[in-house]
Parts: sequence; structure tokens; C-alpha cells
Amino acid sequence: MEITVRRTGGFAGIARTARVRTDDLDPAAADELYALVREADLPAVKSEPSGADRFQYEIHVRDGDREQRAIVHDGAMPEPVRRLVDRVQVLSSG
Amino acid sequence: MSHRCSLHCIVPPGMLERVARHGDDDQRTLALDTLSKDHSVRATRATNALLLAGKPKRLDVLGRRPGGTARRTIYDMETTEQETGKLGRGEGDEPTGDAATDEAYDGLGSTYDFYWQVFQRDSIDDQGLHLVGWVHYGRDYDNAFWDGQRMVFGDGDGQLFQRFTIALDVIGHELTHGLTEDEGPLDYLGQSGALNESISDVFGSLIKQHALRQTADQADWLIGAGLLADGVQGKALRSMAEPGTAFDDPVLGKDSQPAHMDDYVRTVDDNGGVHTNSGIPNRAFYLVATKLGGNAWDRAGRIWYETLRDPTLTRASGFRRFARLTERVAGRLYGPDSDEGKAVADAWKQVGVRL
Repeated sequence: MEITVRRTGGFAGIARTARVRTDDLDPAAADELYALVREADLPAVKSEPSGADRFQYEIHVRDGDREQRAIVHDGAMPEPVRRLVDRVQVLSSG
Repeated sequence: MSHRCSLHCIVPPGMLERVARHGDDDQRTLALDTLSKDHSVRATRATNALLLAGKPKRLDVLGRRPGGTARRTIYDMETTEQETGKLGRGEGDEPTGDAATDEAYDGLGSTYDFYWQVFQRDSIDDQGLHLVGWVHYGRDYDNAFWDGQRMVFGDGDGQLFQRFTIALDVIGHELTHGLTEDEGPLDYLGQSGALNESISDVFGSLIKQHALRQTADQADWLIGAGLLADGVQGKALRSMAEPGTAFDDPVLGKDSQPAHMDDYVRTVDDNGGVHTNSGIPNRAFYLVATKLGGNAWDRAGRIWYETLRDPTLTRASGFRRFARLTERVAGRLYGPDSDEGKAVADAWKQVGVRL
């Protein structure tokens, strides 16, 4: 599985991409990521921009030939999606 | 779940304001209860209307204050993203010595003074709304934003960005988002979103020019000058005079703002490129202001301000509707064949927006 989180917007309007592949992780971390993706339930996510100058995240999950995609906004993000985004950003920078 | 949805999601505050005027006591109580869960500017205004309608004898107490002085509170979020900060500086308090706290306090003051002195507007809602700023939000947080209730400032990561309170135009930009939400609003998507952004840049820049007593010719027309960290190759985040030229850095990338409709960027990023395509109306304003000369807030700023307040500006307005409205407002304020009207028409033509 590969997860890409593309952060855009913010006052600066500058894009930043974080990407994680479960193949690169130890099994426990990979399992955790699969669980986070399940809980995030991306196809059901509905998010509208809230306020102004907040970050927008485009999340793309590819697992074999299956794909999920969602666009979410800071200030209007379900908690499970927030946990997934945070985790991918941490793993990607580490 | 962070999803917050009470009755106000369905019932717009404007309708609640009508309940305030025409409803009975029970209906008013219900409406007030609904609004107590919402702290947006519009909801605050509706709440005030309900309180006034329900208690007419207190009109003198709750009525319009004279205006002219800001009411500010700055909270120190202590590098968390939680909603629990400590009081940093309240109205009238001495400087704290903390740069972000004092810059936010002073910047909100300069912004309040600008709107009061130039447009006789009493804060975001023209009813003296209390201005709240959060500083030290998040750890190394590379952003400043308006969350619908308050202005929030990160410290920056020090590598790309300094603290976001460092530039007065950034503070003015955020407060102006509150004003647009109160007057417009303009949907934060596509062209209406780019207009929303541009209005914040326009008034953010005017607030800085007003504080520095600069004429249009003296102004730098930059957004976020001083915000980029040492070593980053750029002069600011955006250039209203020359969109697309503010920075070009190996890490940050290159300023991608268009200056003309021919280069309008279609994208799903950033709510349809609201911080990118704002370059087009930004440059239109710059062209009007420099053509007219003098203090940019006097005439160009007045035209843009009255356009924002015009009831025919709808929330989904695009560049063309906005542009035509600025031309109509210029005619209304200064006459149909005025220099101001011609400057406005010419500016939109130069950036490729057909009137």
C-alpha cells in the first residue's frame, strides 16, 4: 500500500507532499497504517473549507489495483482522518 | 469526531435575525440557544439582534458604542494546536516582551485604526467586535489563518518562514478575512475564493501603507515581506505589482501567481488555487492605485471597499462580476467619466478580465 498526502493552501499557498509505502515499514507500523486507513473511511469523507488560509490535504491511497481518494480541510477534518494525515507526515519525514 | 453541526448548519443566521424581529419569546429563546453554539461573526451579529429585540429596554446599554478604539485579546497557545491558551495580553496591558504577542496586539490595533480612520468601520462587524488573536499556535507551524472567529499565527519553522506576526500585512490580511465573511461572503473556492484572497491581500497591503504613511508610488506592494527566513531566495510571498516574481527558491519552489487571465491556473489544489489566481485581481488593484496616485486607500481602496459591501456581490461572484461591480461603484462614487472609472476599466483590461 502507498499513501500520498499532498498539503496545499495555507497563507503561503505552497504545496508539500508526504508519501509512505508499507513495504518500507516494519510489520507493526504497516499494520497500524492499514488500521488508520480503515478507520479514516476516506470514500465517506465530506469536508468543506472552514475559515480562510487553512491547509487542504489531498489523500490518495493505492493498494494493488484499489484506490481511495479524499480532499479534507483543516478545521473540518474528522479525527480518524487527522490521525492518518499526521501519521503519514511523521513517517514520511522520518 | 470534530464535526460540529447544530441547528445553525440548517438555519442561516440571517433567518435567526428575522426571528429576533418577528418571533415570540419562545422562538427567540430557541434561536438564542441555537446561536450560543456558534461563534461566527454572522452568528454574533444575529445574537446581538436577538438580545436587542427581546429586551428593548436594554437598547441603551447594548446599543451601538461610539467606536474608535479596538478591543483586543492575545492568547499564547504555547505551541499546541489545542483550544486552550493562556492570556498573553489584553486591551490596555503593557507590552509583554514576547515578540509574537506584542506584534499581534499592535498589528490588530493598526488594522482596527485603518478601518476606523479610513472607512469609519468599527471592527470586523462594524459593531466593535472584540478582536482575538492566537499566537505560538502549533510547533514550528508554517501558517497564519482566520478560523471563522479569530486570527491564528504560527511561529514558522525558522528554515523557510519566520513567525507570521512579523509582517503587518499578514495580520491585516487575516482580519480582513473576517470582514469579508461579514460583508460578502465570497465562497472560498475557485474565482470567488481567489477574490476573497485578493481582498485580504489588497487591504493587508493598504493597512501596511497606512501605518507607514506611504503613497501608492512609495509602497512595495509585497505580501509577507520579512516573513521568509534568512537564506530563502525571495523578497516576499506575493507581489501585487508583479505576480509570479516574489520568490524562486530551491526548497520553497517558485512563485506561481499569474498576472493575466491567459495564465489562470486550473487546479484542485488550494481550493482551486485561491492563493495563486488572486494574483490577477491583485495586479488589477495595483494598476488602479498607481494610476490614480496618492494614498492608495483614498480612492482605489474606497472603490474596492464599497464593492465588497455592495449587496449585489454574491457569494459565488467571479472575477468578471467583481470587475464590473468595481467599475459601477467607481462611477457611483466619482462619476461615470471620471479618472477613477477609467483607471478601473483600464486595469481590468490589462489583466485580461473583460468587463
